[in-house]
Amino acid sequence: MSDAQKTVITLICERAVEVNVDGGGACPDVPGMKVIKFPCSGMIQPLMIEAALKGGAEGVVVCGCQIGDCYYREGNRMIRERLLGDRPPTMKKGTDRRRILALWLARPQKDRFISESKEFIATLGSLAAPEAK
Amino acid sequence: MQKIVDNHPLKAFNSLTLTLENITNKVMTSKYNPFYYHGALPQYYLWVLYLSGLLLFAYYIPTIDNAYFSKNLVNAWTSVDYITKSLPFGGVIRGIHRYAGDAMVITIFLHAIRVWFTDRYRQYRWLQWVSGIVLALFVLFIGQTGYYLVWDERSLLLTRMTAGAFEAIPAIGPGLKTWFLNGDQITNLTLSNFLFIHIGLSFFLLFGLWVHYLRMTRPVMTPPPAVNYILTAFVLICVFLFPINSGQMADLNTQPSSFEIDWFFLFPYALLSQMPVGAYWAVMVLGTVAITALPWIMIPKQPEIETAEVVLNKCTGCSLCYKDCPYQAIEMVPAPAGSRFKLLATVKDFRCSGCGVCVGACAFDAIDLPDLPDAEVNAKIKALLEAKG
Amino acid sequence: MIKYILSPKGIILLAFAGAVVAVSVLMAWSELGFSGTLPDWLSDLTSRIGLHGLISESFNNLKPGMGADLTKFLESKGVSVNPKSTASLGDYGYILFMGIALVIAGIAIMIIGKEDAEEKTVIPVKK
Repeated sequence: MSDAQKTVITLICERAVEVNVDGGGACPDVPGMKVIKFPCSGMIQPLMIEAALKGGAEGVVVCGCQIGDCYYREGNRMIRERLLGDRPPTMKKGTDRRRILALWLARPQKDRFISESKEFIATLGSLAAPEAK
Repeated sequence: MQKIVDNHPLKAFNSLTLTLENITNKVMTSKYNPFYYHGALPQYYLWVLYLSGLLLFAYYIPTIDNAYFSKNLVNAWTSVDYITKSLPFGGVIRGIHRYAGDAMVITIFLHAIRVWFTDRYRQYRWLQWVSGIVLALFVLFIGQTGYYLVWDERSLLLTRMTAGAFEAIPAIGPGLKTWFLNGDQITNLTLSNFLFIHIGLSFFLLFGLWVHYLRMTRPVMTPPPAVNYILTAFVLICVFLFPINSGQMADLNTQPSSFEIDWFFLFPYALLSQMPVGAYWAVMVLGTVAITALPWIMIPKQPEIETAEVVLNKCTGCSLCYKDCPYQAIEMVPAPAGSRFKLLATVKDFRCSGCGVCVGACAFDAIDLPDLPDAEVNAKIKALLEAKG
Repeated sequence: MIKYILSPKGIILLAFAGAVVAVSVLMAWSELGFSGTLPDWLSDLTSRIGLHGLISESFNNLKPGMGADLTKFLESKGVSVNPKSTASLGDYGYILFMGIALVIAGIAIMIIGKEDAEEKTVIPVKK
């Protein structure tokens, strides 16, 4: 994969922070970011994150509501525990955990989302390229 | 994909709540944001009430006169007076019991308002809404019986107003009045009945809470200790600022005409004093029915929920989705004969919220939301990655 | 089970449970004015280690109230907590301090615990 193709996939709860998305799934506020919305962040499978990284994504941002406030009660806690390896199913051992960022932001916290994800993308650039398999 | 977020009728209230909570989050962080424990706050006050009530119960004497103690006047009022003035910290315990009750009403109100504003009260949560209304009514009635127990002039007036209001109900009215007064008129037996109602119904609340927690996996019942400290301090400071005192001892031969009103518990009596009894009951019953029916009134055409579906040939019966489902909508049943596995997950559609936590819990792609199957998500990820950045 | 009981945690728990039972029984007994007589071996034991006096003292001292000294002090200074209050002044003063202490403790715990709250989870790299 070439440098021009670098993409960060965001898996986000539709009730969490409001992110602008254009028709093609890209977020105009953060260059290189593609967004997929879910009814709840609890729906995100570790498999999906692995699939994104395997498919050539430079990084994955997982975003849910503030911890403690989930419309469906526990979804964001669940995916958080799965990411941290405390609740099955967890991610495979070989998954590059440096390329995953989880944010827990309420609807009005758009600025925080943009700044955090930009910072994340910047740190990704300094990491070694993911090994092509 | 679901679009409930943008078109539910309380969108403005929802964003108001979220904006407010965003501010409290900045001050207290999400870990201590009391709004994130709104259901647990009244539950905490319930324990405070049980404990302080137990201490009061040890000294309370439920009689109205000195029939059994002709030398010294011992009745409900004097026992409360003894608790307040003579017992070490008696006045404080009494104050805590009073203000924890008021605080419970406030927190119940906050709880109800928040679930309403954030649209978390309907469809698969109808049981929580309806049982919550029943619980709130019981809390109100228990609180009111607490005011009768003190047996000052206010208690007498409240008792007479309640008995009158009960009596006015057609058919069952006289029976209700007899039950309420434990006889045809106020006697020594009346207060023991009040005490029984006050304490007996308090324990009934536990049963009500059990119903309230049904279908809720891992209900949040305890706020973090730091929040509990603040909740307790709030009550203690109220006890200091506004000490509780009884009015004059009730005298059955007089009819008091006015009293200080506690708006949290006694607002129905303010209503009762302003209108005919028939109109009062009409308002109370219709109001209760309206609030109970709120989920159906607000959204007459409830949006269809895309319930999760189990992919029968992929399910291994591992129970992970069953454990993680926040609404106990998944049941593990014995797998059909010939299956390699022992159990099979099945979805109870009427409990399912369509949130997809079970999809996240499944390592075998064996459960799906029909409108967003995980195969589609993975295809989407692939498509997004292949499109030019 | 036995291993747990013999662990430090278990011993503390057991001692605490014993204390709770003892205090509960003694409270009821003190309401009766410590009537009746102790069995010889127990009264012998309690008087020998000086516990007997301590128990009856402290339980009888519950009567005037922990706030009594504070009441006396506050009244000598001419303080009135609230003109509406008819109960012991010291009790109310005591409870105010308690309330303030709880607020301070609550805020302190919140400030310390704040760091655990997260809006961002960086997943630790496993080797």
